[in-house]
Formats: sequence, C-alpha cells, structure tokens
Amino acid sequence: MPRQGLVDLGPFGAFVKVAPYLAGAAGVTLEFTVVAAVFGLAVGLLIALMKMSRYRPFKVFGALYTWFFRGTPLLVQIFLVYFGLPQYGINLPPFLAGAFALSLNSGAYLSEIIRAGIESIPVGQMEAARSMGMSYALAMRRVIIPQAYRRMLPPIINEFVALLKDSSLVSVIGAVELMLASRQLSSATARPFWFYTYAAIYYLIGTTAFTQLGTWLERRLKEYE
Amino acid sequence: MSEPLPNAVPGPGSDAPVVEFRNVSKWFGDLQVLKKVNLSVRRGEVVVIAGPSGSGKSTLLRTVNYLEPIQEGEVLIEGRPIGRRQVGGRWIEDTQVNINKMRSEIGIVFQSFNLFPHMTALENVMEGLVTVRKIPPAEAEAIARQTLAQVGLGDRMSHRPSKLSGGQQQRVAIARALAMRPKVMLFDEPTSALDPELIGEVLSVMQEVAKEGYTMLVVTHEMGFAREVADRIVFMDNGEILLESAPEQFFRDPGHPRAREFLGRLLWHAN
Repeated sequence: MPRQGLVDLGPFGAFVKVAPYLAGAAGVTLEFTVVAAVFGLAVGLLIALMKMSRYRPFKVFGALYTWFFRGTPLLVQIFLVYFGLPQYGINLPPFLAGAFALSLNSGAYLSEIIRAGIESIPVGQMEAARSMGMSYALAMRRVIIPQAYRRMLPPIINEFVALLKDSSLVSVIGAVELMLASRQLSSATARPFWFYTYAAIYYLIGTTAFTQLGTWLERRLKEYE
Repeated sequence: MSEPLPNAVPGPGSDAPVVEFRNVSKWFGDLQVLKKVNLSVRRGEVVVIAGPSGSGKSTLLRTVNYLEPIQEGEVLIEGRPIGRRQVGGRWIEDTQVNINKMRSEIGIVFQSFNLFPHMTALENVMEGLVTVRKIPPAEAEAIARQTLAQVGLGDRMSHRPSKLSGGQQQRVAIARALAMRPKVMLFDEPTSALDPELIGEVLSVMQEVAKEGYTMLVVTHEMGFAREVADRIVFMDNGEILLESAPEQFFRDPGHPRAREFLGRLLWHAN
C-alpha cells in the first residue's frame, strides 16, 4: 500500500495513485451488495409469503422478523452475527458475517416491498388463475409474480442503493471494503478529507449506476407492456 | 363466427344434473347471503339467474367453482360435491389437488375479464392448457388458435389485453374458458363492464356457445339474451330463489310481486 509519498502528490495525484487500490476495495463493496441483494431477495420473498399465509404461525413469524430487523440498528445485527455467534461456536469470517447480516437485514425491507407489490395485483387475477385449476404456487409463479415484479422494481432498486451504502458498516468488523480501505489510507497519511472524499466519489459512482440501471429496466418493461 | 365452436363434452350418466345446489346457505359474518338455495342444471341447459344487485346471484354462481365456500348444504358437479368431502360423518375442506382438478373442468367468465395483462391473447388461452392440463405447447397453441378464431379474434392473437377493446377482451376470456372444454360455463355479469356498443358481440358469442350444447349458468341483466337463449330463468332476491320459470312465462308474468317490480324497473331503464 502506498504511504507517505502520497501526500506529496497532492489531492489529485493521490487520487490517481490509489485508484487501483480503492477500485479493488469498491469491488468488495459491490460483492457485499450483490450477495446481500440476491440472498435478501430470497429471504424477502419467503418472509413476504409467510406474512400473506393463512397459517397464523407463519404470519406471526413474518411479522416478528420484520419487526426485529427493521427495528434494530444494522450495526447491532452485524455485531450479533460477528461477535455474538462465536459464543455459541459459530465463527464466521468478516466477509461472510457481514454478508449474512446484510442479507437478513435487507430481507426484512424487501419482504415489505414484495408483499406490497403482490397485494397491488387485483384479486381478480388470482381468482382467474385459481379458477382454471392452478395451485396457489403455480398462480403465483405464472400470473402474480410476473406482474408484481414490474411494480416492485423501482422500490427494489432503491433498496439496493441503500444496501450499497449500508455495506460501509461492515468495515467495523474488519472486512476490507471501500470504507475500511479509505480509513486505513487516511490514518496512514493524516489526510482524511482527501480519502473520505474519494470514498464518497466511488459510492456515488455505484449508486448512480444502480439508479440508471433501474431507470433503464423500468423503461424496457414499459415498452414490453 | 368463422368456424363452429367445439362440442360440449358429453359426460357420463346423462341424466345426472351437471350442477346441483342442495340447501345451500352462506353467511358473510352475521349476514346470510344465500338461504337454502336448491337448483339443478341439466346437461346442455342454459339457466339465467336474474335479480336485483345484492340478491346473492353472483355469490351463488361463484360457489360452483368454490371461489366462495359455503357453510351449509352442498354444491354438486356431476354428483360430486365441490370443495368439501365427508370424513367419518363430518364435512371438511377437500384437498387442494381435488379442488384444482374440479375447477379445471369448470369455465368462468368474469365481469372484469381478468385476462392476464402480461400475456398475449394467444398466451392467455394457452396458459391453462399448458400449465394445468399439461398439454404439449404446440398442441395447446393449435387449440388456442382455433378457439380464438371461433370467437372471431383470429387476427388479434398476438395482441396484449391492453391493446384490445372491452368486447374483444371478454371474447378472449370466453375463449380461455372454452379451450379447457369445461363441463359447465359460468358467466358472472359478462357484459356489465362493457360500453353499450360492445355488448352485442359478446352476447352473440355466448349464444353460439349455447348452441354448441354447453351447459351454462349466466348471471346477467341482459333480459334480451335471457328471453332468446335461456331455457330457464331463476329469479333471486335477498339470497333466495323466489321462482324458476320458462322465459316466455317469466316475461309474460313472472307471478311474483318482487320479480314484477324488478322487470318493471329494467323496462323503465331500457326506454
């Protein structure tokens, strides 16, 4: 890692110099986001289906899940997974612990988005599907989800943007992603303003890319309708 | 109508009613919406259910494919109760597999069409054939094309519902139900959501369906259709069947004060 010589390069020179290193760290941030997004969607769908279930135990579990993960700070959840679980013999390396906590957390938010999306489809659609003899699962897969996901897309993209930013919290358990890399560089050079500004720039590139992707997808789906 | 519609499926034991209601009662909370309804529909018969709004006629129709569960009595399809089975003398809800199987043999056309907006007309009609009946897609497509041609939409197969008029959408919905070769076709106010100028095309398709020998149960305010096509008219009010009669008799004099009042109001609006 480059050190003292960075200061002599000035803010722009230093930016260029550390670009490969920070870009790599930003890659780790992106990995966190993608992993948590994929698993978060799976968890979110499962919890959403539980909340809409006729069976009370499922409903209650879904409600408690969302209540806990939306009602406690993400930092507490990360600490519980990374520092808390080892007490019971479950030791996860920083990356895995961080990705796990982020997935559970985003699952709670995504479950609300998915439930709202599914419930926004008129009941007549489910009735028509069931009337032809489809099972609930088949009706969901063939009729409800394909319509709901178009409506869910904008809020889901928002959630992914939030996830990208929230992934900075895993820096506290030592997963070397964009935030921790910037912190290490700032303390080595005593130029925190420079390096945290660089971090901000990389985050902005990521969030802007996500938002643009969302806009593009939305436009494509509109054409498709 | 370019081609004749597919023939209705001839079932076993032709004398058994296709649909039979026995002492059917249903409540929404404390409100009783169906009161000991008895009615039986023979094979090939067209029965129109008429009555003021809120009289329970749509609810009754929707008990036939178990969209509405009932609390008392039985709804039988070819002698078999739908949605419930008896275990050791007690009635419990039937298995989902059995309910789904029976539903796949009952066609329903809704007031609001309920076509799948993310599928083309052709895909809408193919959907049940492929995913429920497990018919190979190529064969299902052939059936769907033929059925859509029969309702006069041969040139609209690749259109999505949003690109079709209300009348065309409802004809796709009829084709979607017909393609499954159901034992009975249910129509739940199929023209009530349509602009007046689009009602005729839907009614004439329904008339063709009747001509093909389908057993039909139709909830409608279209008394012209009832007079022309129905074999029997059932008049409901307040969750009860007040009378059943032949159309000529019904329109000459239904013989019940509330039915007379209902007809009087309809005619008043028609003029």
